[in-house]
Amino acid sequence: MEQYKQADEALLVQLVKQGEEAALAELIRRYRRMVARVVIGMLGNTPEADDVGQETFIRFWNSIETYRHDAKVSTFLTRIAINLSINELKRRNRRSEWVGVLHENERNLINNNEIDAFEQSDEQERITKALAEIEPDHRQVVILRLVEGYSTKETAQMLEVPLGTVLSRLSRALEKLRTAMNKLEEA
Amino acid sequence: MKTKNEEILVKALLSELNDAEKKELEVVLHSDESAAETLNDFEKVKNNLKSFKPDFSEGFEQSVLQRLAQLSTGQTRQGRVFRLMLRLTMSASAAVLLLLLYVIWQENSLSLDGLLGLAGLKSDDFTNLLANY
Repeated sequence: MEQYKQADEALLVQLVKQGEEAALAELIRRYRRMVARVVIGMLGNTPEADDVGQETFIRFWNSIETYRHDAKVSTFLTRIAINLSINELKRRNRRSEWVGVLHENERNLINNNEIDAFEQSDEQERITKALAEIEPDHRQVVILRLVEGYSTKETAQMLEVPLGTVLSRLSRALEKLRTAMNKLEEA
Repeated sequence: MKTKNEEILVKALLSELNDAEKKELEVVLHSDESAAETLNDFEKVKNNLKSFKPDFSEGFEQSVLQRLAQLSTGQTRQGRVFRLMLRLTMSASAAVLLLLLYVIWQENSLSLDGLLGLAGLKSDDFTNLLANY
Protein backbone atom coordinates (compact mmCIF):
# COMPACT_ATOMS: atom_id res chain seq x y z
CA MET A 1 0.00 0.00 0.00
CA GLU A 2 2.96 2.28 0.77
CA GLN A 3 3.96 2.28 -2.89
CA TYR A 4 0.85 4.28 -3.88
CA LYS A 5 0.94 6.83 -1.07
CA GLN A 6 2.15 9.58 -3.40
CA ALA A 7 0.23 8.40 -6.48
CA ASP A 8 -2.28 10.76 -8.00
CA GLU A 9 -5.96 9.91 -8.10
CA ALA A 10 -6.22 9.28 -11.85
CA LEU A 11 -3.42 6.71 -11.66
CA LEU A 12 -5.04 5.01 -8.68
CA VAL A 13 -8.36 4.77 -10.52
CA GLN A 14 -6.58 3.35 -13.55
CA LEU A 15 -4.91 0.74 -11.37
CA VAL A 16 -8.20 -0.11 -9.64
CA LYS A 17 -9.70 -0.66 -13.12
CA GLN A 18 -6.91 -3.14 -13.76
CA GLY A 19 -7.84 -4.97 -10.56
CA GLU A 20 -4.97 -3.68 -8.39
CA GLU A 21 -6.17 -4.11 -4.81
CA ALA A 22 -3.32 -2.10 -3.31
CA ALA A 23 -4.54 0.93 -5.27
CA LEU A 24 -8.01 0.43 -3.84
CA ALA A 25 -6.51 0.16 -0.36
CA GLU A 26 -4.85 3.55 -0.89
CA LEU A 27 -8.16 5.08 -2.04
CA ILE A 28 -9.87 3.63 1.03
CA ARG A 29 -7.18 5.18 3.21
CA ARG A 30 -7.75 8.57 1.57
CA TYR A 31 -11.55 8.54 1.57
CA ARG A 32 -12.61 6.44 4.55
CA ARG A 33 -13.18 9.47 6.78
CA MET A 34 -15.23 11.22 4.14
CA VAL A 35 -17.37 8.12 3.63
CA ALA A 36 -17.63 7.78 7.43
CA ARG A 37 -18.99 11.32 7.74
CA VAL A 38 -21.67 10.60 5.15
CA VAL A 39 -22.63 7.13 6.39
CA ILE A 40 -22.39 7.76 10.13
CA GLY A 41 -24.12 11.10 9.63
CA MET A 42 -26.99 9.31 7.93
CA LEU A 43 -27.17 6.15 10.06
CA GLY A 44 -25.61 7.08 13.37
CA ASN A 45 -22.58 5.32 14.82
CA THR A 46 -24.14 1.89 14.57
CA PRO A 47 -22.67 -1.48 13.50
CA GLU A 48 -24.57 -1.19 10.20
CA ALA A 49 -22.70 2.03 9.44
CA ASP A 50 -19.45 0.05 9.24
CA ASP A 51 -21.07 -2.48 6.91
CA VAL A 52 -22.49 0.25 4.69
CA GLY A 53 -19.08 1.93 4.62
CA GLN A 54 -17.44 -1.32 3.51
CA GLU A 55 -20.18 -1.90 0.97
CA THR A 56 -19.57 1.59 -0.44
CA PHE A 57 -15.99 0.70 -1.38
CA ILE A 58 -17.02 -2.72 -2.68
CA ARG A 59 -19.62 -1.08 -4.95
CA PHE A 60 -16.96 1.38 -6.03
CA TRP A 61 -14.67 -1.52 -6.95
CA ASN A 62 -17.45 -3.35 -8.80
CA SER A 63 -18.69 -0.30 -10.68
CA ILE A 64 -15.33 1.29 -11.45
CA GLU A 65 -15.88 0.62 -15.17
CA THR A 66 -18.81 3.05 -15.13
CA TYR A 67 -16.75 5.75 -13.41
CA ARG A 68 -16.26 8.81 -15.60
CA HIS A 69 -13.14 10.87 -15.13
CA ASP A 70 -15.03 14.16 -15.22
CA ALA A 71 -16.44 13.33 -11.77
CA LYS A 72 -14.22 13.28 -8.71
CA VAL A 73 -13.69 10.01 -6.86
CA SER A 74 -15.04 11.73 -3.75
CA THR A 75 -18.29 12.65 -5.54
CA PHE A 76 -18.64 9.13 -6.95
CA LEU A 77 -18.10 7.62 -3.49
CA THR A 78 -20.45 10.12 -1.84
CA ARG A 79 -23.24 9.21 -4.26
CA ILE A 80 -22.77 5.51 -3.52
CA ALA A 81 -22.60 6.14 0.24
CA ILE A 82 -25.76 8.28 0.25
CA ASN A 83 -27.73 5.74 -1.80
CA LEU A 84 -26.62 2.81 0.33
CA SER A 85 -27.41 4.73 3.53
CA ILE A 86 -30.92 5.51 2.30
CA ASN A 87 -31.41 1.84 1.41
CA GLU A 88 -30.24 0.89 4.89
CA LEU A 89 -32.67 3.35 6.48
CA LYS A 90 -35.52 1.84 4.45
CA ARG A 91 -34.43 -1.64 5.49
CA ARG A 92 -34.25 -0.47 9.10
CA ASN A 93 -37.79 0.88 8.95
CA ARG A 94 -39.08 -2.34 7.37
CA ARG A 95 -37.27 -4.35 10.04
CA SER A 96 -38.70 -2.31 12.90
CA GLU A 97 -42.18 -2.76 11.41
CA TRP A 98 -41.54 -6.47 11.07
CA VAL A 99 -40.59 -6.93 14.70
CA GLY A 100 -43.65 -4.99 15.72
CA VAL A 101 -41.97 -1.82 16.88
CA LEU A 102 -44.47 0.14 14.84
CA HIS A 103 -44.29 3.92 14.67
CA GLU A 104 -40.79 3.83 16.09
CA ASN A 105 -38.59 5.62 13.62
CA GLU A 106 -34.89 5.18 13.13
CA ARG A 107 -34.18 8.06 15.48
CA ASN A 108 -34.92 5.78 18.40
CA LEU A 109 -32.62 3.14 17.02
CA ILE A 110 -29.80 5.62 16.77
CA ASN A 111 -30.49 7.04 20.19
CA ASN A 112 -30.44 3.70 21.94
CA ASN A 113 -27.50 1.80 23.34
CA GLU A 114 -26.04 1.00 19.94
CA ILE A 115 -24.23 4.29 20.07
CA ASP A 116 -22.56 3.31 23.29
CA ALA A 117 -21.12 0.26 21.58
CA PHE A 118 -18.86 2.59 19.66
CA GLU A 119 -16.67 4.95 21.55
CA GLN A 120 -17.08 8.50 20.46
CA SER A 121 -16.53 11.83 22.09
CA ASP A 122 -19.38 13.75 23.69
CA GLU A 123 -19.25 16.31 20.90
CA GLN A 124 -19.45 13.65 18.19
CA GLU A 125 -22.27 11.92 20.04
CA ARG A 126 -24.17 15.17 20.43
CA ILE A 127 -23.93 15.89 16.70
CA THR A 128 -24.90 12.33 15.79
CA LYS A 129 -27.93 12.52 18.05
CA ALA A 130 -28.92 15.94 16.73
CA LEU A 131 -28.64 14.68 13.14
CA ALA A 132 -30.86 11.75 14.05
CA GLU A 133 -33.56 14.24 15.05
CA ILE A 134 -34.09 15.38 11.48
CA GLU A 135 -35.79 13.65 8.57
CA PRO A 136 -33.48 11.54 6.36
CA ASP A 137 -34.31 13.75 3.35
CA HIS A 138 -33.18 16.80 5.29
CA ARG A 139 -30.25 14.98 6.86
CA GLN A 140 -28.71 14.14 3.51
CA VAL A 141 -28.86 17.80 2.48
CA VAL A 142 -27.15 18.86 5.71
CA ILE A 143 -24.42 16.26 5.28
CA LEU A 144 -23.70 17.09 1.67
CA ARG A 145 -23.98 20.86 1.95
CA LEU A 146 -22.73 21.66 5.46
CA VAL A 147 -20.58 18.70 6.45
CA GLU A 148 -19.04 17.76 3.11
CA GLY A 149 -19.07 21.28 1.73
CA TYR A 150 -20.57 20.58 -1.69
CA SER A 151 -22.12 23.67 -3.28
CA THR A 152 -25.90 24.02 -3.28
CA LYS A 153 -25.91 23.28 -7.01
CA GLU A 154 -23.80 20.13 -6.60
CA THR A 155 -26.00 18.99 -3.72
CA ALA A 156 -29.10 19.50 -5.85
CA GLN A 157 -27.55 17.57 -8.74
CA MET A 158 -26.43 14.74 -6.51
CA LEU A 159 -29.84 14.36 -4.90
CA GLU A 160 -31.68 15.13 -8.14
CA VAL A 161 -33.86 17.82 -6.55
CA PRO A 162 -34.32 21.51 -7.47
CA LEU A 163 -32.08 24.16 -5.89
CA GLY A 164 -35.04 25.62 -3.99
CA THR A 165 -35.73 22.25 -2.41
CA VAL A 166 -32.16 22.08 -1.12
CA LEU A 167 -32.53 25.52 0.46
CA SER A 168 -35.91 24.83 2.01
CA ARG A 169 -34.79 21.46 3.38
CA LEU A 170 -31.69 23.09 4.76
CA SER A 171 -33.77 25.76 6.44
CA ARG A 172 -36.07 23.18 8.10
CA ALA A 173 -33.09 21.05 9.07
CA LEU A 174 -31.22 23.98 10.62
CA GLU A 175 -34.26 24.88 12.71
CA LYS A 176 -34.50 21.35 14.04
CA LEU A 177 -30.77 21.02 14.58
CA ARG A 178 -30.73 24.28 16.49
CA THR A 179 -33.45 23.03 18.83
CA ALA A 180 -31.90 19.56 19.16
CA MET A 181 -28.41 20.88 19.88
CA ASN A 182 -29.69 23.33 22.48
CA LYS A 183 -31.66 20.56 24.14
CA LEU A 184 -28.68 18.22 24.18
CA GLU A 185 -26.42 20.96 25.48
CA GLU A 186 -28.79 21.63 28.38
CA ALA A 187 -29.00 17.93 29.13
CA MET B 1 -40.68 33.13 9.98
CA LYS B 2 -41.72 33.60 6.37
CA THR B 3 -40.36 31.17 3.81
CA LYS B 4 -38.75 33.93 1.77
CA ASN B 5 -36.94 35.21 4.87
CA GLU B 6 -35.81 31.71 5.75
CA GLU B 7 -34.37 31.28 2.29
CA ILE B 8 -32.51 34.58 2.57
CA LEU B 9 -31.07 33.58 5.95
CA VAL B 10 -29.96 30.19 4.65
CA LYS B 11 -28.37 31.81 1.61
CA ALA B 12 -26.61 34.29 3.91
CA LEU B 13 -25.32 31.39 5.97
CA LEU B 14 -23.98 29.76 2.82
CA SER B 15 -22.55 33.05 1.50
CA GLU B 16 -24.64 32.69 -1.63
CA LEU B 17 -26.40 36.05 -1.63
CA ASN B 18 -26.36 38.25 -4.73
CA ASP B 19 -26.40 42.05 -4.40
CA ALA B 20 -30.20 42.32 -4.43
CA GLU B 21 -30.48 39.58 -1.84
CA LYS B 22 -27.88 41.26 0.36
CA LYS B 23 -30.10 44.34 0.47
CA GLU B 24 -33.07 42.10 1.19
CA LEU B 25 -31.15 40.55 4.09
CA GLU B 26 -30.56 43.97 5.59
CA VAL B 27 -34.27 44.69 5.42
CA VAL B 28 -35.10 41.34 7.00
CA LEU B 29 -32.59 41.87 9.81
CA HIS B 30 -34.03 45.32 10.52
CA SER B 31 -37.67 44.34 10.33
CA ASP B 32 -37.49 41.03 12.20
CA GLU B 33 -35.69 41.00 15.55
CA SER B 34 -35.53 37.24 15.74
CA ALA B 35 -33.87 36.99 12.29
CA ALA B 36 -30.41 38.04 13.54
CA GLU B 37 -30.66 35.59 16.41
CA THR B 38 -31.73 32.83 14.02
CA LEU B 39 -28.83 33.58 11.69
CA ASN B 40 -26.46 33.52 14.63
CA ASP B 41 -27.82 30.17 15.79
CA PHE B 42 -27.56 28.77 12.27
CA GLU B 43 -23.90 29.83 12.23
CA LYS B 44 -23.36 27.98 15.51
CA VAL B 45 -24.97 24.83 14.08
CA LYS B 46 -22.83 25.12 10.97
CA ASN B 47 -19.67 25.46 13.07
CA ASN B 48 -20.70 22.54 15.25
CA LEU B 49 -21.16 20.40 12.17
CA LYS B 50 -17.64 21.26 11.05
CA SER B 51 -16.34 19.40 14.07
CA PHE B 52 -18.22 16.25 13.06
CA LYS B 53 -15.35 13.85 12.39
CA PRO B 54 -16.52 10.29 12.93
CA ASP B 55 -14.57 7.29 11.71
CA PHE B 56 -15.15 3.62 11.08
CA SER B 57 -13.84 0.96 13.43
CA GLU B 58 -10.23 -0.24 13.45
CA GLY B 59 -9.20 -2.50 10.59
CA PHE B 60 -11.76 -1.03 8.22
CA GLU B 61 -9.49 -1.25 5.15
CA GLN B 62 -8.63 -4.86 5.90
CA SER B 63 -12.32 -5.74 6.26
CA VAL B 64 -13.09 -4.26 2.83
CA LEU B 65 -10.20 -6.13 1.20
CA GLN B 66 -11.20 -9.36 2.95
CA ARG B 67 -14.77 -9.02 1.73
CA LEU B 68 -13.50 -8.41 -1.79
CA ALA B 69 -11.33 -11.52 -1.60
CA GLN B 70 -14.30 -13.55 -0.35
CA LEU B 71 -16.44 -12.18 -3.16
CA SER B 72 -13.93 -13.06 -5.83
CA THR B 73 -13.46 -16.56 -4.36
CA GLY B 74 -17.23 -16.98 -4.34
CA GLN B 75 -17.46 -15.77 -7.91
CA THR B 76 -14.71 -18.19 -8.98
CA ARG B 77 -16.54 -21.08 -7.30
CA GLN B 78 -19.82 -20.00 -8.89
CA GLY B 79 -18.10 -19.75 -12.26
CA ARG B 80 -16.67 -23.25 -11.89
CA VAL B 81 -20.09 -24.69 -10.98
CA PHE B 82 -21.67 -22.81 -13.89
CA ARG B 83 -19.11 -24.15 -16.38
CA LEU B 84 -19.60 -27.71 -15.10
CA MET B 85 -23.39 -27.40 -15.38
CA LEU B 86 -23.05 -25.98 -18.88
CA ARG B 87 -20.80 -28.87 -19.96
CA LEU B 88 -23.23 -31.42 -18.50
CA THR B 89 -26.23 -29.76 -20.13
CA MET B 90 -24.51 -29.64 -23.51
CA SER B 91 -23.49 -33.31 -23.30
CA ALA B 92 -27.02 -34.34 -22.31
CA SER B 93 -28.51 -32.26 -25.14
CA ALA B 94 -26.13 -33.82 -27.65
CA ALA B 95 -27.04 -37.31 -26.42
CA VAL B 96 -30.78 -36.60 -26.73
CA LEU B 97 -30.27 -35.17 -30.21
CA LEU B 98 -28.32 -38.24 -31.34
CA LEU B 99 -31.01 -40.51 -29.91
CA LEU B 100 -33.73 -38.61 -31.77
CA LEU B 101 -31.77 -38.79 -35.04
CA TYR B 102 -31.30 -42.53 -34.53
CA VAL B 103 -35.05 -42.99 -33.90
CA ILE B 104 -35.91 -41.02 -37.04
CA TRP B 105 -33.41 -43.04 -39.06
CA GLN B 106 -34.71 -46.37 -37.75
CA GLU B 107 -38.43 -45.68 -37.59
CA ASN B 108 -38.94 -42.86 -40.09
CA SER B 109 -41.06 -41.19 -37.43
CA LEU B 110 -40.90 -39.21 -34.26
CA SER B 111 -44.22 -40.51 -32.94
CA LEU B 112 -44.47 -41.84 -29.39
CA ASP B 113 -44.52 -45.40 -30.73
CA GLY B 114 -41.45 -44.66 -32.76
CA LEU B 115 -39.65 -43.25 -29.74
CA LEU B 116 -40.63 -46.32 -27.67
CA GLY B 117 -39.60 -48.73 -30.46
CA LEU B 118 -43.21 -49.96 -30.91
CA ALA B 119 -43.85 -48.51 -34.37
CA GLY B 120 -43.86 -51.90 -36.21
CA LEU B 121 -45.80 -53.85 -33.59
CA LYS B 122 -49.21 -55.28 -34.33
CA SER B 123 -51.75 -56.32 -31.75
CA ASP B 124 -51.76 -59.93 -30.69
CA ASP B 125 -55.39 -60.61 -31.65
CA PHE B 126 -56.92 -63.48 -33.65
CA THR B 127 -57.02 -61.70 -37.07
CA ASN B 128 -53.34 -60.83 -36.96
CA LEU B 129 -52.37 -64.35 -35.88
CA LEU B 130 -54.34 -65.83 -38.80
CA ALA B 131 -52.76 -63.36 -41.21
CA ASN B 132 -49.31 -64.56 -40.17
CA TYR B 133 -50.11 -68.12 -41.09
